[in-house]
Amino acid sequence: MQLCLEGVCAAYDGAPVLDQLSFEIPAGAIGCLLGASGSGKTTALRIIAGLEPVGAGRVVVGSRVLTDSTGRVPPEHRGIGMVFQDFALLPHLSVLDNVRFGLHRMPATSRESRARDVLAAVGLAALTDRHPHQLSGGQQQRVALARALAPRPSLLLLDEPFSSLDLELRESLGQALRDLLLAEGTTALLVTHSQHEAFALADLVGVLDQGRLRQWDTAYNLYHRPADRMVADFVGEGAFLRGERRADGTIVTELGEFAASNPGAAGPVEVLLRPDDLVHDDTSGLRARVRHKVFRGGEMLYTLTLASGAEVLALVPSHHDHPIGADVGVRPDLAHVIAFAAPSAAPAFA
Amino acid sequence: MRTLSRLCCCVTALLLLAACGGKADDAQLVVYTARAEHLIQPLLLRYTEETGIPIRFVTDKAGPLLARLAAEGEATQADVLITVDAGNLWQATQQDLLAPIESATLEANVPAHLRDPENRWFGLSLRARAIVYSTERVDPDQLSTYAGLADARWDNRLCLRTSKEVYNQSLVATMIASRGESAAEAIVRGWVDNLAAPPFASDTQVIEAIAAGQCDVGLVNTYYVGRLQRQQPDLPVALFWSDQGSGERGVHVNVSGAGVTRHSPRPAAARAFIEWLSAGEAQQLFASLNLEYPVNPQVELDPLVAAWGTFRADDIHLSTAGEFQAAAVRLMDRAGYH
Amino acid sequence: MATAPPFQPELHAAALAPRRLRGRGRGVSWHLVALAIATPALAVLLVIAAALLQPDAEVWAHLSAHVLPRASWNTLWLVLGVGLGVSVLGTGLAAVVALCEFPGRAFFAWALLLPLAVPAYVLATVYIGLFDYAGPFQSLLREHVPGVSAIEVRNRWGAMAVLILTLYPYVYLVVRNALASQGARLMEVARLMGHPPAQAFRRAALPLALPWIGGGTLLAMMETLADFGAVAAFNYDTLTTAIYRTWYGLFSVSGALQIAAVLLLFVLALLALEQRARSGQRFVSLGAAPVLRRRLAPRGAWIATLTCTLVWVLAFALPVGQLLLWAAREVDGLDRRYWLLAANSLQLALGAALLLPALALALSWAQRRAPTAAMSWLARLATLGYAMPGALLAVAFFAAAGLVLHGMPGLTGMLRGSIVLLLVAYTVRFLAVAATPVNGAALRLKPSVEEAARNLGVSGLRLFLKVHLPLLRGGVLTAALLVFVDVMKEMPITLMTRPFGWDTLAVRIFEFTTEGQWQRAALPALAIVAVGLLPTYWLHRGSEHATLS
Repeated sequence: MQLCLEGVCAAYDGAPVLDQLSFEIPAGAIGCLLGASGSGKTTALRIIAGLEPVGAGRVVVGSRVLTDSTGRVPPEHRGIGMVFQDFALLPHLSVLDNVRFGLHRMPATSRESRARDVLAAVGLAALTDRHPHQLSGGQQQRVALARALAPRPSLLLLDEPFSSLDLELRESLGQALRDLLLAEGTTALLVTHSQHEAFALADLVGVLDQGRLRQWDTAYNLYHRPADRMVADFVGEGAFLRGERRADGTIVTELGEFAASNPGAAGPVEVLLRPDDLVHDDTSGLRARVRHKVFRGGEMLYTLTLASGAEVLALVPSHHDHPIGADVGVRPDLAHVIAFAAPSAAPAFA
Repeated sequence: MRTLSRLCCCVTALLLLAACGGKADDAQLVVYTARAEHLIQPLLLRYTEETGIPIRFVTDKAGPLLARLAAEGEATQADVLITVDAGNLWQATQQDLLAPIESATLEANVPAHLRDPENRWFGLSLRARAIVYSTERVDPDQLSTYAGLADARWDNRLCLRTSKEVYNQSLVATMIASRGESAAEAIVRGWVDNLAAPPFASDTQVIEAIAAGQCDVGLVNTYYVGRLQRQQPDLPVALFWSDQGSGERGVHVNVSGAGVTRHSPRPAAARAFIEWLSAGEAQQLFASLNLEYPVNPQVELDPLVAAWGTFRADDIHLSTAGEFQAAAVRLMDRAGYH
Repeated sequence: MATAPPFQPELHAAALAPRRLRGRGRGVSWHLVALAIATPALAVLLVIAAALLQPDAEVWAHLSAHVLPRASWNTLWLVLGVGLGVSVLGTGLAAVVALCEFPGRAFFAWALLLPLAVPAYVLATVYIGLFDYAGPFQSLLREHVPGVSAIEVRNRWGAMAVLILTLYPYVYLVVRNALASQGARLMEVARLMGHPPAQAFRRAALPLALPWIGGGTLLAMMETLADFGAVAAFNYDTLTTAIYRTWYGLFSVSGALQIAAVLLLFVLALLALEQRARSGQRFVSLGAAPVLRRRLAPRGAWIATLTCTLVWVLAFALPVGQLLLWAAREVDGLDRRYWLLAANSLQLALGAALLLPALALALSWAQRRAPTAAMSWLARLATLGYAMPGALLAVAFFAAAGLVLHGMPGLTGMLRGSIVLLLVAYTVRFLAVAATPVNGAALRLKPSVEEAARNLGVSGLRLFLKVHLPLLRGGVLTAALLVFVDVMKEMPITLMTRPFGWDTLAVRIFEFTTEGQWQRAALPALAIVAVGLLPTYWLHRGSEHATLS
């Protein structure tokens, strides 16, 4: 079911934690709140789950208002599932009983089969009689997921679902989770500080910064059309290159002139340069010096110094192996030219 | 972590310091007393003042004190054992914890039935176990003897302290000695039948229950009445001296007394101390601190105690209280007096 | 401390799961450590066992016909009633305080611990004074309600109520900490799974807390078995009062020890029960984030506040108020000696509060390192003394010490004059009190933390001091406080084992109460309560902090 937050505000001990948080996830889609720790993302999740009140605003799932400033539906009547960061499995119950735990409203006859089905879907059919302390971290995570999904929640919340798992597990579980959610048609919201998780799982991602939602958009747009500098900085790798915006919208940088994709006032700006915005081209007259490089299998991430001393990143097929200190030719290849007003008034390179 | 190690050092130092405490000393006395500190310490201080002999003491109940003496054996530092109740004193002689005292003074000051036949202990103060009654609801003419309290007239009107208390055990023990076991058991069963409330944990509660109207008569040591009367002079209770008729045994009395321990390091000094307690001001103080009666007939009574009037005491030898105590406890168990 | 065998990674996080030893020799040294700690208790048990070998047939026949049936029945009733009462009251209060937000919660979180500092015999005496027929409560009732019949409070139910009110903090304390650390999170989970709060508590938080409820209840039940003062005030005959009656009245120490053997049967039954509870006690990882307590609706909040107030008033404010009234009349009795008595009490209680948790830690550690059957028996025996009546334990201890120290007059003399013997005796009596929270905390030690530390090259004593001790802090603090207040209140062992001049506040109470002068005993009783307040507060702060960290 569709989830909609409208102007949600929350404070803890007088200090604001969430400030006018509004976003919407269409039914069946997966949303994600991305933010550093302390950004308020877990509070948002707990508010949606009904574990905490709001100061203002409301939470609507489907057509039902679950929370507003006058009150809230208790968590047990929301039909929302949640996967906790620490999994919070019930230590005294077996895996099967943990999953069955939330099925008490189902007819008794179908509880076990539903629990077994969900466990099978997360690949734990063989471990139903184990207790949580006998499971590995990844297995515990899957039990927590199965437990949350079993009652067919209208909305599934995931709090840093993969933070305690290793990278490989994350990737494989992430894909499995996405498939599962799509198969069940469950609307989901996860919160994470990892953009990889966000990009891998979510259809819509919001960047939360000190309780404020900076942008709520697709992953592609967050990456390539960030709404502000903070988002650009927080999401993905890249560098900012100084330049000058002219009145006609043309932006002049040391890499050349580009037509700006986003509006803005004339004056000194910084242009967002993603690593894939700079192409390696030995024929190019633009030269840059290799300062640092990271081998990434198929690609090499170079940190390059331009003639002005500015540092930029370039993602290059890894067979182009240049030693540190070498001069290489580069060519800008920007699909979107995003420029933000430069933070300082210092004269920019022209 | 430094805090922890510092803490450990402190504890060790503390223990070592404490360990260097006690050391035997000839110019002193060591007293084990079951008589509470505030009833005995003024006397000990007075003795030290008069003679210059310092006295060290520990208090405890009689049972643990005897067990401690027995466990310490020859190594004991104790010279004098002071305890309440003849039963306990008798038990001390049974365990051979007391040595005989050759003292003409003591024999002169303490009547024969209030001391051990072999002079291993001497009574120092006398407590009388009398009938207490409500002045509002009881005509004292109806009262006569302990046995009389078993009469149906007192049905649902009697309050007693628990039979765990040694005073009741001694009373029943002397009843067994003088009347025989079956007669004594009949009396105790009669008491139990007459009880208006389950037995109380203390004599004071018995007196308060009578004053409050829960029951009309009871059995208590006189000094408990004295203490309450000091606080509430108009308390509607009075004492009745039981068994005063001709051919009757008289009021049951018990003693608190003292003896020299079998392995006392300083028996002569111990004897001198007990002699001192048996006469003069010390004897008077010993009794009056707890509103008891002095054993020494030449010593005057506390005025409040004297106001209760005179009575004839049962002169049965008190060691019988000890001899029959176990039988008395068993009897009371059988009779359902808990 | 010997270097322990390297930890093997294991899926079973149950910290105390049997582990094969690599170095046999180290196992032996751990057994020696445990044996050394258990030796005083073993010596005492041996003395009791030896007494059983010379049974007093005549006394025994009498006891079994007229005393034991009633005393056993009464004891069973009392122990089960108190067990049920403390587990329900302690858990209920712990749940409300740990999981809910209501007016006065912060105060009650601490204040509900305070009855720990009130000795059971004090509460019993105050209650009988207030509520018996002659007391002000019934007197007023009779005055205003004509024809009202007498209410007998000096019976089974009265004794039970008083013991429940003094002993529930044992359950409250440990369960509150367990619930505060993990229960709130599981409650949230359960509620998100569609269970309303009451059901969520029953199905998620309660099972989690069960081992702690069991441990606290066991302590309370053992203390009930050993209690003399409170049941004596109610004249309620139990096995413990029968022991004293047989000893003091029938002059039969062997008869008393025979009853003690019956008592030990009760204890063993309790231990078996606890063992079953403990087998369900699993390693539980702590939630990372502190969880918000549920704010109660006004009606619920009022009920919570009222309930907490009622319990606190009944178990603490009322008795302390009565003591204050009594003490006000005796205030001229407050002389310089009280400082001395308080200093002695404090010194003994602090000494024991440092020593016993340390021993409990060592014992727990030995069990972790060398988890053999012999080890668990040693640990069990070392803590049996908690259920034994203090005076009997004191006699047996005295006899045992006499045997052990026999032929060492120099050492004997030195020990006699010191409090070392006293501390050893307290160890026999109260090690169980320290062991329960320490073992509980040890269960929550993640092996992975230890593995990580070893991986960083930290091992042996350093591992213990740097890693385990800080993690066990909550449990050790709890142990220290419980020992502290118990030693403050302890009477028979102190009376018998103390050196000359080592009178304490409890001894002072004894002096007055033995002559029935309760009003005069109010002053030292208040002093005991007052001295217990500060550590209770510390403990509260410490455990709340340890919960969050």
